[in-house]
Amino acid sequence: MTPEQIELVQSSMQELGAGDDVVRRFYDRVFELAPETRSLFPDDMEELRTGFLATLTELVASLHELPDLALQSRALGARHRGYGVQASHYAVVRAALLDTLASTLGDGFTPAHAAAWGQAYDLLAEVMQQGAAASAGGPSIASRRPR
Amino acid sequence: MAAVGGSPGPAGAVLDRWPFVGRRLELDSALATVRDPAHSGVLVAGAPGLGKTRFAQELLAEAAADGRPTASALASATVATVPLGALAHLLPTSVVLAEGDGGSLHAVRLLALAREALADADGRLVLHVDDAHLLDAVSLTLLSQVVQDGSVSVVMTVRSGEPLPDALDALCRSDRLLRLDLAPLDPGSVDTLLHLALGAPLDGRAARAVTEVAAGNPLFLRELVRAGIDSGALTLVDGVWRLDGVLPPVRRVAELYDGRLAALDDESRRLLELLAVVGPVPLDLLAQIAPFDLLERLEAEGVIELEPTARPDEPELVRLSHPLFAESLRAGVPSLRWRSILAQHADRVEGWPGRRPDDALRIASWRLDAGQPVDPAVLASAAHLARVSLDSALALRLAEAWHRSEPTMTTAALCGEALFELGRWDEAEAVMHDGTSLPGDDPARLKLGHVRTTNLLLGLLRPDDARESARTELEALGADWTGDPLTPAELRSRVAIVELFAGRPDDALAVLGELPPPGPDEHDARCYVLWAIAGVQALALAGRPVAAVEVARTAMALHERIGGGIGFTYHYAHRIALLLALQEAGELTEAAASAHEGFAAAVQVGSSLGQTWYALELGRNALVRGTAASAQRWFREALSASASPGWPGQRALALSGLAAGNALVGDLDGARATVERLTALPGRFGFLEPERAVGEATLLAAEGRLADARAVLLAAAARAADGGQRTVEARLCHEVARLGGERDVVERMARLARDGDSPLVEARHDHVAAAVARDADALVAAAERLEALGCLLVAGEAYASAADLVRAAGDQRAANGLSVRATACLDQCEGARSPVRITTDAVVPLTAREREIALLAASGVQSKEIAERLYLSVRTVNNHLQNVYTKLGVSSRAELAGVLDRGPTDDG
Ligand code: HEM
Repeated sequence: MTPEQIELVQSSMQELGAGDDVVRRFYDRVFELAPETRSLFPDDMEELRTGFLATLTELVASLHELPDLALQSRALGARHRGYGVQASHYAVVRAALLDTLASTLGDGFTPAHAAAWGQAYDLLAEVMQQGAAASAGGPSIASRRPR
Repeated sequence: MAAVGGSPGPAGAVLDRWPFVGRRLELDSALATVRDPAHSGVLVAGAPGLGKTRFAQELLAEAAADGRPTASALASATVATVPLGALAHLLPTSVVLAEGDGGSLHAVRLLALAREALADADGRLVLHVDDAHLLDAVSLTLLSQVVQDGSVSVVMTVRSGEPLPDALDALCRSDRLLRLDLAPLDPGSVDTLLHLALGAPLDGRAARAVTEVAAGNPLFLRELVRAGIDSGALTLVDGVWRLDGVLPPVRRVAELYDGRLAALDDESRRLLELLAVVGPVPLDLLAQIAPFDLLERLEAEGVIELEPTARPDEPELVRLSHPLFAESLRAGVPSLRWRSILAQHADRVEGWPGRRPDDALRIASWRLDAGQPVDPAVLASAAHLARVSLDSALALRLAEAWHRSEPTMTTAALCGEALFELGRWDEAEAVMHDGTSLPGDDPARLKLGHVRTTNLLLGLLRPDDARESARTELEALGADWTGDPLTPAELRSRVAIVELFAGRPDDALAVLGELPPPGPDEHDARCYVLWAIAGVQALALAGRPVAAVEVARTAMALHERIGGGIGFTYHYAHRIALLLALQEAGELTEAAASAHEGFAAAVQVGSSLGQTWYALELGRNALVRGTAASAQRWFREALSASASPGWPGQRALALSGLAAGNALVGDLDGARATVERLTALPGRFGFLEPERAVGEATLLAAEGRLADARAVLLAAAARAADGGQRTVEARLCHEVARLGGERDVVERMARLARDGDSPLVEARHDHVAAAVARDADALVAAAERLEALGCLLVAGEAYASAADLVRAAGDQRAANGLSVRATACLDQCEGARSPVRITTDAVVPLTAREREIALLAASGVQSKEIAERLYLSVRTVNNHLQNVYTKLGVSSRAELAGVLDRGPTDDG
């Protein structure tokens, strides 16, 4: 992401505000696009809605501070693996998020916004999935230095 | 790991291991495949630098998290020179060094042991094979087998855009592997990757410049960024990466490392060249060669890395971080330095206490490449291993090195065997001829003699010399032989093989003598097996295939029990023999099933000779059935399998079969061309040789020249009778009868049926006898018998003749019924056109003479010429033709050709 893109994402996040309605429509859209994901979620979505929006806001705010962002979202991603979330689901949620943003922000949501949000989501999603993945890195030569 | 989570400091972070980005969907489906017991794994293909190896590593990590055992094998240009090189560290020493059994462990046993070792893991092993296109032939064979049986999940990476060896190409097409073609990363993923790797965003200009040049190639991307930071073009200002100036001028992936190579100091270069030339080196050893600081620095620069080990008892290896880097380095090493690197490293490993048993092979290979003498003991085991693995080129290289350093009968035999397999028969004879005067004990002499005979017989097609050499040795034993008691049996077996392949089964049986008892002790069992090696086929051809089947089955079970230790190379010897016996006995279904199995096995171990034999038997099987298209297909297969090195005897059989198949479906031009190729081949391969006539005869018959066809067949039958190939003789006689020569052969066939035990020969005789007697009921009985055996074409013809007879007797309804049965058989013959078939379609049947003339006329031969060929007057010919027209309801030659389904040919 360019610094300009981070700017765009953060400003539109503020515009979005804390509307409960937005999150509702987001989840509706997710289940519309991929009904099979409904069973992953609890029946009562109330708590999740506030939690999701709060976390998203936090993450977007730290787009400039990659180390912080990474720490949080890796843990989040690891939990998502436990929820049964698969790689293909991330694409669904991406589409639902962009659709919801577009319908909420109307004309204020330009193609530049869409591109910037897309990049931001991909960044989060990649780090979350890194956190969910088994670690592939082997030991380093340096760690084998004889004492 | 990645910069993420650490401090986004500049170069340090960038040179770290980069995050894995943009491939999660593929990874998920790959993981699902690895978990699926119905699949054998994943093939990851892609251009260099797209992250194939990384992908495989991530996949392995996921599998390990599932609780699966994992292991990695790295194929490289250097490891490929020793058989099983890439997999050696995963296999027991006894397999790698072909221990035990004096090296005569045969390929199948050896590979079975290797397979067991791999399957032995705690749970289904996930085996990562990197750069599979560089695997040696033996490793590839092993890999094909585990993919086939699914005992291991394989994760293979293959560089795309390069021609693959045949065996690998076939493996890549296996439907047991999921094939993933890694595409370049899309620009969005490139952006994310850069962002995560650099720990901070890039400004627009920098991002565009890097993305454009790197074209979605992660390796390229990493090298560009690294170079950009080194040159100061990329800098971190206020938390954003900016590009001032230009990126280094790298335009192609192949040039990626050029800049780095130029900048190397001497110390680094020496170390990196070593890794490029000899492959991965244990860290403990490397630390004795180079200061640890240097290793750490090179790791930090991202050019070397520690190879993850699967097992705690494996030494940790250091390797170059990318094969492209190794290639660039190797390209710059002059050959003299190359040799000295190898020689030095061989000394070093030899003197290193941490050396492992399988290093012996590697040391041998390095010394060979360095042009140094090699420890003969190691060479011996390497040469044996290469031989059993059917990697003849490698076997030759090793055997020749051994032969040079310590020439004996054993080394001469090994050289000869490899040369024989490679089709260099003259050279093989030369080295083995000289070999007879070299030192060697009795077993070595025996082995040498065996290979030499085989070469004379099957390679040089000099059966007389082969017989002479084998018989001389047998006679030299004398009555007071006190050596190995098995030797006389081995020599008799060898002489019998010569006689068998010279087309003289009677002589083979004579030299073999009485069939020994199959037990109870080991010696008896071995004698029995040795008898069977040539005896089964001889017995079958001599007319007793049912008895031969018995012997073959017993011998196979015995051989299994006693294991190796018999000086015959070909594991399929028994199976081929059993197959021939089944075929001659008329057990066509079982024969075909067994041949299919054998063919698949031969493809797996990459044996062209094995494939040739099985394909030939399948072609013969189809011809006996009359299924024309299958016959064509298998004979073509046999031709292509025998193309290199061009086994002449087998090629002749394949060409003749193909000609017959072509003629049967009416492809007369194809048949003619094939017969011409056949005539150009040498003819000193007696085994089944008379059958060659079938191709030409079928062509002649299809051209309408029935009398010529019969003459060719009768001459061949006489040759078959001369050597005692009686089932072949019966088949040829049956062909003669089909083409109207029943009376010429009926007595002979009666004798053949009476003296032998083959139900097929009996059924053939029944058919001919009934035709001569013009006995409709007997014809139907014969047809039923043939049909039950699966001989559909002749069964159909027999029904049709029976239909003719009852129709002539006035029973139209019965005739119609029989015509239907005829058609039912003939319709299964895949387009074969029987010379008899036309009569089944006519309301009033044609006489034999009318049929002959109709066929000739339909092929465009003028009446005058027909008259000359058949010794008739033109008027008689025209009268016959007129009758044909009336019976078939046509009025011109063109219509006649249409009805007979046969276009006029230019030369008739
Ligand atoms: C940027 C992407 C995402 C963000 C920021 C996000 C955030 C969250 C948060 C904050 C929670 C509350 C529980 C916790 O913190 O672990 C949650 C729960 C959950 N998320 Fe996500 N999520 C994302 C993507 C996805 C995707 C792609 C799926 C797949 C369908 C998904 C499925 C779920 C489920 C099933 C739960 C609830 C599990 C439970 O409470 O039983 N999420 N998510």
